[in-house]
Amino acid sequence: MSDLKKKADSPLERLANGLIKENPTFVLMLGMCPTLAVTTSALNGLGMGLATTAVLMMSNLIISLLRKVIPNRVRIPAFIVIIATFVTVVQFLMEAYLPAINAALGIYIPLIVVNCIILGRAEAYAYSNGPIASFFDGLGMGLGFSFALTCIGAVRELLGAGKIFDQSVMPASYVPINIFVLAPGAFFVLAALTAFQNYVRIRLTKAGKKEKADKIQSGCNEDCMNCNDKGCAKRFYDNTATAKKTEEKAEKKPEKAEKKPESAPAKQEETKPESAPAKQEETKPESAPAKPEEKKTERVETKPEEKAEKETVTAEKKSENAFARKEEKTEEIGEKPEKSFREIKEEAKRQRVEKLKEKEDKKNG
Amino acid sequence: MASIKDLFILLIASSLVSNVVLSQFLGLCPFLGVSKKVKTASSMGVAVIFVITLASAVAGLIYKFLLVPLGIEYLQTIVFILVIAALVQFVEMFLKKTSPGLYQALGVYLPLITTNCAVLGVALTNVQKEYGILTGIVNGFATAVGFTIAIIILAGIREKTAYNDVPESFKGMPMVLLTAGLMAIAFCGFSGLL
Repeated sequence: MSDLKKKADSPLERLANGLIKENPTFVLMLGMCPTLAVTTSALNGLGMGLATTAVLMMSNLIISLLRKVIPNRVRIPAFIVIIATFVTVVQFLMEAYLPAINAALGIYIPLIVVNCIILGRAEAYAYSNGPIASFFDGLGMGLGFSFALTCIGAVRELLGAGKIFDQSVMPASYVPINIFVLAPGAFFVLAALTAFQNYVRIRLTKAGKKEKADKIQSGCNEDCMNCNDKGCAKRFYDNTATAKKTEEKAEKKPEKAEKKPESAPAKQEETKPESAPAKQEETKPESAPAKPEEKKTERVETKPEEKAEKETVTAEKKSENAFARKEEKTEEIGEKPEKSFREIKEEAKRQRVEKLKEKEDKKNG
Repeated sequence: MASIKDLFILLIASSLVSNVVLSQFLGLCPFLGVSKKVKTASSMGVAVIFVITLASAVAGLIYKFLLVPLGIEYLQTIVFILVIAALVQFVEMFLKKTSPGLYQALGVYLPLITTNCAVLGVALTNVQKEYGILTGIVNGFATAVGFTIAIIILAGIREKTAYNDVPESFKGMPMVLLTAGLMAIAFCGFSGLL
């Protein structure tokens, strides 16, 4: 991941990245719920996009400022609280100053909280980068999202009502295809969009530009364990993210990781020595070969720091434990990094089933 | 207190007429993601029914007995999302300890549900529409049933069309979205029901 994006973290580069290179809707296919729900007209799409942009910018900024304070283990609940705060602020601002759009968007404004893009950017960018770069990353991503939503909204409005931004643009003889502003139209427009994405990807692959093609996501394909979608919120719950995060963090701030290397828990080492590299290969096959050993050591090094910080937490203990437990569960998977991607996938799946069975047996007998 | 008739109408309205996935677009990720096989889809559906019903009950109670008396209704979004996340994790742990069978059936899907916007969506709708606790629970249950119906039908169709010869660009997600679109048209028919 790092080699793909760390060319420069300048504000302009970040803006371009969000708008074009990693456009959250057109390229990464994130945050589909609001994309489908509110794009009945260009104006609604724009309103939703700008609301999301505001939240994204502010949450990225604050998370980036607090990134050294937030313990690794409770980062997700912390992110959610920060994001929810800004969503509430935006919601009240819109209620006060833009009541019409607020009424049109309704429940989707508070639901910005669960938009994958925001949590995704917090995790993938803001938590490991400086405040200014993060702010512009949020701005770029948000504008990319707004742009996409406005486009989709405009297409639907044009086909479904013959208007764009409430201005009639079609000739008077045009009979609006009503279905496009209704719910089914959203699915059809998105289907056309994903089909186009697939087309672009197939063309890129045929032209030999594999890396570029790999960056294009086509929605969720259920297999969270092996998904390499770095922005999807679901992956936070199956620790592939955690593994990658730790690595990234260690890369970023080696001095922090080496604070107490002597206290590295031996238990961690002996029980799951190889899990990290295998996991890495699973999630990001193309970048794996270079990293395994480096990753392994870093993972062990960062552990004590997490442990120490764990004690400071009281309020969010419950969720913290849950996340930690999740992490352990999937860490047990995968041993041999030399295998091909597919083999590792299957192996991991089999081992998962076995582990589950074992646990079951233990409980019963 | 709402009458039985009102509750029944709400049940039909929330599950069929304004179906959570096909007309409100909440919970799309699991809807598109976990609908490859009818079996997994139905497990997911059951897990969603379980969690949403429970979550709407808990959220309703917290709203009525904690947020309103303290006058901090504006914190609802924050409180609800944390409560739901904690609840899902708690339910998962509870199931793991007490009934491993059920845990194996639902366990994999539970964490996925935390990020399902339908759960938060239902809790917020209940507050917005000023439903009482019982009405809220019925609404949550009906919404989840609607989700289950939709995901099982979609899974059935996907099983049938899995090996169809479609244009290469339309393989995978675009086909699923087209199917969902056609289903949404079908569900539009329910709007005449009430």
